[in-house]
Amino acid sequence: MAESLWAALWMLANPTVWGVMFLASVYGLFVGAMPGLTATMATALLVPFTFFMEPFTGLAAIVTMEAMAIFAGDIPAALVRIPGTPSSAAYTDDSYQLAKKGKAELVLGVDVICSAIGGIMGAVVLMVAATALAEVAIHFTSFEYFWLGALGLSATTMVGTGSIVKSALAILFGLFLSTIGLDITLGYPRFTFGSTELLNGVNFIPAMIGLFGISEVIRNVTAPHRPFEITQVNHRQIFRGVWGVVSKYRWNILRSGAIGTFIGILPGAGADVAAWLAYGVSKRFSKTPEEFGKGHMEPVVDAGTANNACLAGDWVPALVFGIPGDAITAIVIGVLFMKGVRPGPLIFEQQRPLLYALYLTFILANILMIPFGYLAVWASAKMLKVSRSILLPGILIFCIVGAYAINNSFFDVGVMLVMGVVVFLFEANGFPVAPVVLGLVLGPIVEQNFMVSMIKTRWDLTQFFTRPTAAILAVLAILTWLAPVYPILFRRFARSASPA
Amino acid sequence: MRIHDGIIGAGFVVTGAAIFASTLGFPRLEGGAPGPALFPQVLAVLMVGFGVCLVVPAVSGLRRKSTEAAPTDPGLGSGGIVNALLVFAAIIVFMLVSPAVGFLLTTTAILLGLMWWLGTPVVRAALAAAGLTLFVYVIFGKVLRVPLPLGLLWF
Repeated sequence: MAESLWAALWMLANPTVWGVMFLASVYGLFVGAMPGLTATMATALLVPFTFFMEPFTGLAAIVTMEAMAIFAGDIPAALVRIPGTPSSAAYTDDSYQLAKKGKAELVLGVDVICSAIGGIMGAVVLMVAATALAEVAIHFTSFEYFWLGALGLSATTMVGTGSIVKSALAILFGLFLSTIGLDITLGYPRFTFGSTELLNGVNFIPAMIGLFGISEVIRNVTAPHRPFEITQVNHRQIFRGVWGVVSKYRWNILRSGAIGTFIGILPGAGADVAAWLAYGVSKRFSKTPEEFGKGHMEPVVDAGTANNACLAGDWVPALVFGIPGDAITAIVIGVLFMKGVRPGPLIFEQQRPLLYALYLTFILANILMIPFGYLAVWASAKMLKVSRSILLPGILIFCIVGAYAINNSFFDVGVMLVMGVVVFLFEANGFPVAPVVLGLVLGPIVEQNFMVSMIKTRWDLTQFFTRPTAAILAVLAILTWLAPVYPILFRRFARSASPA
Repeated sequence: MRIHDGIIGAGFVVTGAAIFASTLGFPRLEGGAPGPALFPQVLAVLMVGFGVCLVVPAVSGLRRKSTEAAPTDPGLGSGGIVNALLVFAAIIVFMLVSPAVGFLLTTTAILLGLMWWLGTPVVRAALAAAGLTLFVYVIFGKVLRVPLPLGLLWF
């Protein structure tokens, strides 16, 4: 262990890593602070750059960028009442009302510190839970992995907001995309229409850029926009009084850190879900629930801690099982495969220095958030004044060139375009986009493990239910599939139980 | 670009049926066991099933409003649609024109056109377009050594 830790520290000491983390911090803070641009888009646009980096450097860039972006989403929430990312939406009203009451500095200081504490709590849980789960997962076979993939897909549908039918169709679309190319049993080309470029399947990176980059450009250029009215903030004062707030709400911080991390570990649920859940729990147990939404610090503390705690939690299923915790870790899994690193329990045996370095990066990124957060608040007024009519075409060019750069191929730009058009139609009609990428990532896991299991047992389906762990996962998956029926059953039960 | 749920559902039903039909010619494994066709066929059946689930309530007007997601953009104005189409057109122009004309000229023209259309004054747009193009060229073309198309310019 000491040897691995030493190797991890050596990896982290590389000046290139520090340079990349610095740039990723600035990039994450900028994207997070720009209303309308999300951390997922930032990750998709970062991926072409990670293609040219060492695996750890690329992962460090994503971890740092992600942490900074989720925090920075709090800045416009407080200053212009628009969340920079969906993760800050839960407590936007409270942050803005506090800022209007002259507490802009305090609320931003609390945002920085609670985000950092939440992020570090998540990182600690990641270290402990991932290692413990990996020891269990090492005994998993294709049967268990099939059920895990199926569970990941169904959980994505159930925990998402909106229509279950539309989420399911979005997942099916992603799963269908994953079937394009040579199949794993016979190497038979499926749905390639004679194209050699499609033999290896839909190229993941251009697809991600189309799904998350182009879609955000489209969303922004089609939405009316007027200049923001920015609440003034004195950045020098942001840490004044923060200790008192943190001390007062220390149990809230612990509780929300735990909630955020747990939500992160669930496949398919991201930082926005964590923030809303922490907000709900906070209101339920608050002594002053009537103050929520009117400029109260308690929900800012709770939800602000939970969304950053969730980020490391999302990496637990991604690293241990190769099952993404959210859209960002779905992209990360794609990056890992691209770099020849196969996520799963074996990396806990074979790539310990990489893992330890990753854990340290999570902690370091959250510590760096404090000085960088200070600088972001200092630059917030300037960032919010950046012309969108210049920024959006600029992002479009980064999308195009990023998609092209992976294989120097215009075909990949075409893939990005098609995905952009699909997402445009999906979003305009209430279909969520994240399930598409989860379907794309989980499709090969589900199909490959099912086919391998079937071939090795000569099509004996009972094996999926007779192995103890597989049976537990099967029950969980089936219970999740039946989730839409529970409210109906509950209503019927309540009706029959009530006196006539 | 709001499309009636019934039409979208029908689209998924047709797509699912088409996927299923196209897999009928896929080879089977030894002994006649299902092979490459199995997974797409399962997806196709589910797609048809969920497509029907979207069509039926939409047609019968029984859609559960409380659980339906509000569309992100329930109705784009004509300006919004034009902007979206321009973004798609810009990507197509890049794919078609840049191999012959080159990255620098094509990108500058696309950026200038889009920035101006979105409301940036033309001189500012020209300066920003040229600067941004050069920045992207240096990052990708020089630092990351991506062979961006040179076209009419040879450096």
